[in-house]
Amino acid sequence: MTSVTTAPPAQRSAAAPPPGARRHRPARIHGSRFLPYLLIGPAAVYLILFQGLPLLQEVFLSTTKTSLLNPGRNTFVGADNFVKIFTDPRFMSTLWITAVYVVVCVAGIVLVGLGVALLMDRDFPGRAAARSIVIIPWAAPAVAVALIQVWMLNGQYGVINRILEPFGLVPPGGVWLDNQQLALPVILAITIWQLFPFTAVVILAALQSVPEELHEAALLDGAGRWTRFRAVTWPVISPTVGLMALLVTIWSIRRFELIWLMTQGGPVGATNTIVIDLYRRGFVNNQLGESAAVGIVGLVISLTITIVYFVVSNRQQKEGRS
Amino acid sequence: MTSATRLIVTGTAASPRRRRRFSLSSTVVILLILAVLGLAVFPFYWMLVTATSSDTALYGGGVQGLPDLTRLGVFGEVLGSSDVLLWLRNSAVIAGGTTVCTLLLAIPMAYGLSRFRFRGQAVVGIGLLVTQMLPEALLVVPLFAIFSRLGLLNSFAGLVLANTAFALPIVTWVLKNAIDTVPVDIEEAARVDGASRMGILFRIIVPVTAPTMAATAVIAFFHGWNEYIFALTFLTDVGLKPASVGLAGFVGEITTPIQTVMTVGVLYTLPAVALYLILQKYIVGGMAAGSVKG
Amino acid sequence: MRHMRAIGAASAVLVGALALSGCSSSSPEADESEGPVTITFAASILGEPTRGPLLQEMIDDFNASQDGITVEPASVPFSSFGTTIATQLGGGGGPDLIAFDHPNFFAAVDAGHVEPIDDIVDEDALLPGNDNLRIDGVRYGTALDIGNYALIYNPDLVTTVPTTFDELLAEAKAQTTDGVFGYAMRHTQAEEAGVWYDLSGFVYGFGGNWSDEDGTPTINSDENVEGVEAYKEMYDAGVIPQGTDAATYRKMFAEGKIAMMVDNGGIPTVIQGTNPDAKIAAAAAPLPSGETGQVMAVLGVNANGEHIAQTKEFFAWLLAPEQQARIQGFLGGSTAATKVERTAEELEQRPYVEVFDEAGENARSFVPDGLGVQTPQIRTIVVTAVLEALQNGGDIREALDRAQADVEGLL
Repeated sequence: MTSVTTAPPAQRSAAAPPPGARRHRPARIHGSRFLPYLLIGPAAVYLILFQGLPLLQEVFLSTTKTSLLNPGRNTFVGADNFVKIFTDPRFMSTLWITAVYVVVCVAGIVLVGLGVALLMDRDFPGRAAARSIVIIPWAAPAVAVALIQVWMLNGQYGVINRILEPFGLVPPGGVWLDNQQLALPVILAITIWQLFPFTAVVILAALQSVPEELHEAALLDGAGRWTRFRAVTWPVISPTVGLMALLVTIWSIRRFELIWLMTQGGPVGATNTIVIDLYRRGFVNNQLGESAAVGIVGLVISLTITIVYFVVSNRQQKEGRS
Repeated sequence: MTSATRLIVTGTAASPRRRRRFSLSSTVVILLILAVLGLAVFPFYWMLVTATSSDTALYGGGVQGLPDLTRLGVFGEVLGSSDVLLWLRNSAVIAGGTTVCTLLLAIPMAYGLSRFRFRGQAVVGIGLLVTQMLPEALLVVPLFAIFSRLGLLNSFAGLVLANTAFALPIVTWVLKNAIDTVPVDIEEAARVDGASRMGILFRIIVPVTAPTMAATAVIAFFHGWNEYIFALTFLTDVGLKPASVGLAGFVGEITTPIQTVMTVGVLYTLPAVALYLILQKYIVGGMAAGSVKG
Repeated sequence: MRHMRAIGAASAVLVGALALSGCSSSSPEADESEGPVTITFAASILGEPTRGPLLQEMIDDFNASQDGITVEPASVPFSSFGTTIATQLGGGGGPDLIAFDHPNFFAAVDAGHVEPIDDIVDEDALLPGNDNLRIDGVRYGTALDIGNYALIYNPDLVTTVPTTFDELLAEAKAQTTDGVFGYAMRHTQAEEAGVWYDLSGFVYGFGGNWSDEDGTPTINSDENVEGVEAYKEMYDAGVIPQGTDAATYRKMFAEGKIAMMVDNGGIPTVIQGTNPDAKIAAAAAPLPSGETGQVMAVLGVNANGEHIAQTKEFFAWLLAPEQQARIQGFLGGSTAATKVERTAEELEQRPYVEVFDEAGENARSFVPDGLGVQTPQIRTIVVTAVLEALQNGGDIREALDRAQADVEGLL
């Protein structure tokens, strides 16, 4: 946890702070040696019980052929499930779609969020109201979002087609979600729409902590807007942006309700991400073993991404860059 | 929800706001901002419009652009004739329970992780990160089995426990980083004055990190409010159904009365948005990122 | 002393959790000897706006008629019914009486979750549609409703009723003018189960079948190819509202925007529930073999249930002639499990029911013989292959060949 950049470089390189104000505390500030365990204990036990154990169970299930209707009856098949999914060209397609989904989501959500934050980082009448309003998509429940979007995209009666018709931008048959080429872009657009407010608001808050003096100094030096951004703003907010990217990545891999309720991974697998695939194998086809195998693959991918993130972020810290 | 957030501990002394003169490009900026806001809000506006549309307006040829205010009675109808009010109450109970449970567990854990070094600390840190990556769909079957054995199926308690497990990692992570920013000196001073550790925790840490606490409370609440899979699978009693399952249930084989669906959608979305708007002053403060003066 | 607060906090959580569990369940769990036993009944029909309340009334009447048993609905939404029930059964729980979707029934029996009901069923009274619910000589379920498929059309729009597939196609094209579509059928991946029914309808209509009597898959038989090609022709003809789901196009039918569709006997009732003035008529499905599909909701007793005897009692009550007549009354064109004579009143109000009843003589279930347990997976394989061919303009025979290979690999 502590390897995540939490302090801007300025603070790190400050003169050695007096003892007692060190960032890392001595092992024991107050009394009892057992206190940390007591504090951590309940939550740790809780997580082990409700996440750790089920995860182990899933690892076990991934090596078996098990039916949803009888999770206790397991036939051991070793690595067969993994072999099966990796030799299935459709699974390769699933991996690809997940990759596309994640990358575009992260890029979209972070960039749009950044853009909107920069846009709103100024005084204008109604600023507070604007900041409240923009958050609405994120605050809304996924189930509600899925339903209204499906209705808006309805081929016959949806308002989106009604709006686009005069411009001739309506897809064949007016169909968006059942169109193999359009389904994924639509889902991506909706995901980005739903999540950009979160990054926007966080980055906006980060922008507000950029010291005014630095901006003024840069202005005095005659720096243009882009240079100012790159030299003054970016170093300050880049840890935040980086962290947003990581969080959005993790969330994208986990995203379920929105996609399931809108397309169920269709048409013909065009929006089939790992989680959707996992769900279908387990709950529609009753194959818990395959489902667990897919889940484990997804977990490994998430872990790899996170490790890479930390390695890169640590290396950046060491190089003294933000 | 970022670990790069720093609570502005010193509170008030934020840097002076950048004042931009209203330049030519500012009209463009305002227009862009309005466009962004419009895009953000439109689908919800449309939910309202659809809820108040008549069948002919919906299935006929034209486009009804504005909500038909004469038909606002549909909200009364839906509230009176269906179980929506019950669903919303259930959602509130689940969400509230999740919030309380999560915070009760997360606050001590965050405090412990922040203030102490102890054996196994790295493991806990890694564990917290890994658990954030687990999709609910993956664990629903084993959790179902566990709750079945504990007799917690078909009860709010079981659902709250499951939701808490998924909200806990991120909430702890955020809280830990917020507590990190609180200087230890304050605590040591209090210790010298004879305060107990728990007293410190509650009387100093919690108030100081209150904005972040509000932010994480909202996160946990949303998690409980929006949650679908577990509610769908663990609850069989009609009387326990939350709004997420109720709303999704309208995607039925037979007629989906779209006005009713949208009405329920509005009723389901409003409380979440309202909660955020009420607390957002604190949330944004708690999310403030970047360098801190002290 | 110092640790007390922490322990206190932890216990607060536990107490809170237990308290919550106390104020959760809305039904009193009573001992059998002490008061009414509560059993749960899950049926997606309970969630329907038109027919749901009528079934609920029957349940209320049963509850009022005796003191020993209280039946409570556990209405699981249609879209996730199969998966939710399967998960609950797998976990050793689940509602006491379940109205299974036919394709999901057999896996549940196979997994040992369904209680035999020979003791409460009078075999002679049952309609033939119930035959395949006897497995290895033991009866596990009876139908809650049997819906045969026939051509449903809007008599205001369609004046000459098609009797062959070519006529159907031609009529559909003729009817497709602005705002109105000549035909509707399910064709999106999101409605896989529905596509299976509609697709199978075409396949059966051309004399095809997904398996032979021994349970050997015959996915790529010539008749099947013909049937699927007809389905594709309909899809390509531009006569159906693309991308629209069944709920929407049934609503469109109620608004007079769809001319024809082949669907089950319960649908006209549902459509009239939406729009009482909707014009509906029915005729035999215009496909060569005269065979159509038959959809069913199957009632089964949860073998994991705690009150099996009481559940069977309620089930037996539902099978009694009086209740069967009542069920048939609100099902509309579908039938109940036993033969119930249509009342003259009904025949007058809903003349189309005769068409559906007649269709029952040549109706075949959507669960291929001998492949009951694997039907959901077979369904996914076949529907995916066909939809792929539809969307990408692929060859039907090739698609079905691949599906055949995949299904064989499954077994």
